[in-house]
Amino acid sequence: MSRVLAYGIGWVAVAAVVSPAISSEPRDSYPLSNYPMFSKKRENPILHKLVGISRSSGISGTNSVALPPSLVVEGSEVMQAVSTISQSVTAGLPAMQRLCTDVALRAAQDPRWVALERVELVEVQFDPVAYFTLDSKPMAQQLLTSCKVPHRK
Amino acid sequence: MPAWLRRLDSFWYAPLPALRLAYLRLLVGAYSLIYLAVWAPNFLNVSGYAPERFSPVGPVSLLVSPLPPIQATLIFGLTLLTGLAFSLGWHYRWLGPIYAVLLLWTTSYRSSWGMIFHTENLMTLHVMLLSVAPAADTFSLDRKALRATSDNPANPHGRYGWCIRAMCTVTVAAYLLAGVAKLRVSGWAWASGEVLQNQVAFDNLRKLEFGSWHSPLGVWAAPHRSIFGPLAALSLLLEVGAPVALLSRKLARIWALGVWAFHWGILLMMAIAFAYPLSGIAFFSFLAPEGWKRLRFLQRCFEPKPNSAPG
Repeated sequence: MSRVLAYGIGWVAVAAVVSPAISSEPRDSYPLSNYPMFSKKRENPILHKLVGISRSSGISGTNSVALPPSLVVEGSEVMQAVSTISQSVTAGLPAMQRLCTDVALRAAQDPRWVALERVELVEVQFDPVAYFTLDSKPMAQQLLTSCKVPHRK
Repeated sequence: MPAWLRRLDSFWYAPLPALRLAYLRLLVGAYSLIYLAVWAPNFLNVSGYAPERFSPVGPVSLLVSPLPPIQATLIFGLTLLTGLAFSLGWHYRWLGPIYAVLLLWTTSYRSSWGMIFHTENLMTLHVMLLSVAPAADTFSLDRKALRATSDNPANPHGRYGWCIRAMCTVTVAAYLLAGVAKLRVSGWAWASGEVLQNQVAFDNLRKLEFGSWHSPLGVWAAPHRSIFGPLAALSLLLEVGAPVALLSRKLARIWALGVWAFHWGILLMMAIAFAYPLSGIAFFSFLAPEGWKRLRFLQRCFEPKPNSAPG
């Protein structure tokens, strides 16, 4: 490989990696990113989550339980679930209802969730540090949509 | 040639051994292959996502709608096969770049559904750089096939050095950019620890609220502000100070060790695994893996069989 090519390829690669940060509007993409993770304080972040409501107060001693990421998106982890839910919230009520129904169907097929009666998509707001120091209850909470879990009789 | 240009050339086109580049090909290639295999269900599952979730990034932006699942699965399978060829150095001149393109496509495709997997950026960039370098001149199936008839590329040369230097520079740039982003958004106040405390608390809160894995250490630490000041200052120092790793081998080793520990800290406090840096392989370009005795056994697998003497 010639010296000219070695410089050309290498420097183009380095310039490409640096480019998202030096542009007037830094952008986070793939495989080039300005790596903005962890850079900003989240004052009182809003979280959208799916909760399951049981028939009785059976699950974990309460009648509402957080649904795990695997119920939201098959084979996924928490950040994919977060992104799936927030995409549906951004898309509006029909998308939220569709997601809610999908999750309820998945729960109906899983024996671990036999006691679930309803799935709710809720918007909650927290103070992250106060969550661990004072109280884990949300500062505000709002129901966005809900749907029934279609258990077989 | 001016002195500064000579210095730059001696850094960038440094005469480094072919064996070091070959080790990097094998280790980075094997890591990426194992990574793809372990996460295969997750890579393949995206084909089942609702099309309205499709939000393409990188080269996948060329598509206006998702690929049919069979095509996506086929591409993933080809990525694994070419990844094996890349790692072993088999028909490297062609299959190396093809693997790099397929890996870029496959990882971009998984990141095209609303969540970008930043854990894969550096791995993909390293594979792309290695794929266009003569990384299979030794310690490879290509070399083995040549038997002992060709010249042995034993002498260090700049054609082996530039890629290693580019890998180091790209690694340093990625961390520097992360530091610059923090300074741009929060300024030097980031080093006070308030933002980090908030991030650790929020990340663990989100995991708890989603009934998912979280970090018990992060939950314990979240209320204690005093812990986060030194951690934040050290993190920012490692990121903004990343370019020192290009100044000398000693500084490079110290920096790599620091960043490796920093990723273990992220894992322990936030249960977020940046697997490539955690494995240490992301920093091997700063080291000399060809000298590690424990890896010597690998070389024997690729040693050319000498031709029998004519008769």
